[in-house]
Amino acid sequence: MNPVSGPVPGRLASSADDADRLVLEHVAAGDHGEIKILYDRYGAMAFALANRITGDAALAEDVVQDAFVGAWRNAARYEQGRGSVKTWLMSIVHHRAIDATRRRRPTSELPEPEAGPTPGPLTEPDVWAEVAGRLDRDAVVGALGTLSDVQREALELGYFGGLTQQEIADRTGAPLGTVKSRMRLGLLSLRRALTGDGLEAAGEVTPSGEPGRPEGSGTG
Amino acid sequence: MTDRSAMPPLSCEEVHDLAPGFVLGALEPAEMAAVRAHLAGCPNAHAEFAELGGVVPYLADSLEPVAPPPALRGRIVAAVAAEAATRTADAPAMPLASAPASAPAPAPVGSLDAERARRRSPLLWVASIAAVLLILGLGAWNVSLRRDLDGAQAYGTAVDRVLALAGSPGGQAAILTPAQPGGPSGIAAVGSDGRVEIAMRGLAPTSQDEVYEAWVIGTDQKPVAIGSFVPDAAGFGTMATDRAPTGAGLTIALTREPTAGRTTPTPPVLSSGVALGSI
Repeated sequence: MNPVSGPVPGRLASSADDADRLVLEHVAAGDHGEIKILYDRYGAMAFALANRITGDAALAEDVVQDAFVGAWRNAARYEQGRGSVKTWLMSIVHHRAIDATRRRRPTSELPEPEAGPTPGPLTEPDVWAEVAGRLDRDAVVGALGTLSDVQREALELGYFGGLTQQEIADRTGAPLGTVKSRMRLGLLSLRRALTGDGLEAAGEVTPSGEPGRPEGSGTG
Repeated sequence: MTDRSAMPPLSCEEVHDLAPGFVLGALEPAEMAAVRAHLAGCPNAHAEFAELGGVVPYLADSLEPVAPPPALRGRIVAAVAAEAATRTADAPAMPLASAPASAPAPAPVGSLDAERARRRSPLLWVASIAAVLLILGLGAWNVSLRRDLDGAQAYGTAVDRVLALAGSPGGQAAILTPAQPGGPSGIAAVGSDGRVEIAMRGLAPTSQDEVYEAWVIGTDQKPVAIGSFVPDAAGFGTMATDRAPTGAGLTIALTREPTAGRTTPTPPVLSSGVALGSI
């Protein structure tokens, strides 16, 4: 209950993420100036993400501002078990960017304004905490390179394109079940490539997918 | 399954099937909501969400970072400062810029269109600080007495100087909030060249040699006296210097001292704020 900000006793900023968490604790405790520290660390990544999703630098600026102000507002709600501060921030940026992009499409329903895409009650054994520090752009680009073209396309159209899986199916001409399967297998492959944790994935059989069927050439 | 208007409750199997689209944010809003509703009430763990979703934020790492326009940083800092100040105005402030531990429920996010309209001018954030001052000040500001009005004019002139300095390249603004309800409050600006302008109101009268002393506290936590002043009869006081420490994360604090020229502050801190807005 002590709102006075300062170093948290017994806690060492032993990694970038611990340092981020400390900053976020300070922000949540009312030291709002510290949002600058997070911005200086992740502003360029946030802007790159927003820019990629919206395809509009001015809108991307709005999204990043909206996301960082939102992060400041919700700093007290950050839950440590749900991932690093960085991924939390990127989730907010992603959500706001998709939101902004879909608002521009008159036929689309508006997403819920505040609910993030991350499910509430779920936490994961911290497989990511061990590897997150070593993940850089090369690692992620390399891991994406292990996916088939159609898997990578499904992930990119969904995550960066702001398309729903049905819209991806319409655009690529693939059946909806195939798109779902590509997303699932793509995510599992990516996870396996980045964490080395692929035991569950090896036995993965999806109800609607086509496990084991080689995905063919890309849908140019 | 893809009916947009109505989503009946989903089975565990259907939720499992939607998990990849959910973690990527690639479902219709109605589907997203239906999945959330299921997860909120489902006794099963649905570990597939964490398994599939943990990797999703790392997709952003595949992008080459893109430096945002430099002004964006200042706008974010100013937007946060402005909103923080309005919050502080609603609740008694704690010494040295600490908000209540249980923050009020976050306000709904304003529409992006409104946000865009507000940020067109590079100096708009200064205007937003001025708007905060109005919120902070006018509500409780009794200008019914003539002497208050005179003081208010002097204060207003000082505020203009503060805003001008805050809007200068590298300028930062601090909103000083009272440590105790009814205590002094005001605004300060810190220039990149060591200038500081402060405008305070709500100051109790001083006696004999007493002065109000302004302090700059940097990241080393050592207060540096930057100047003293005495309030006018209406409780307004202003101060300017061109010899203040510069840097990021400065706190501006105000104490009352028995004499001018003290090098360490006499507790308590009466009013303080963190300088924000460097670009």
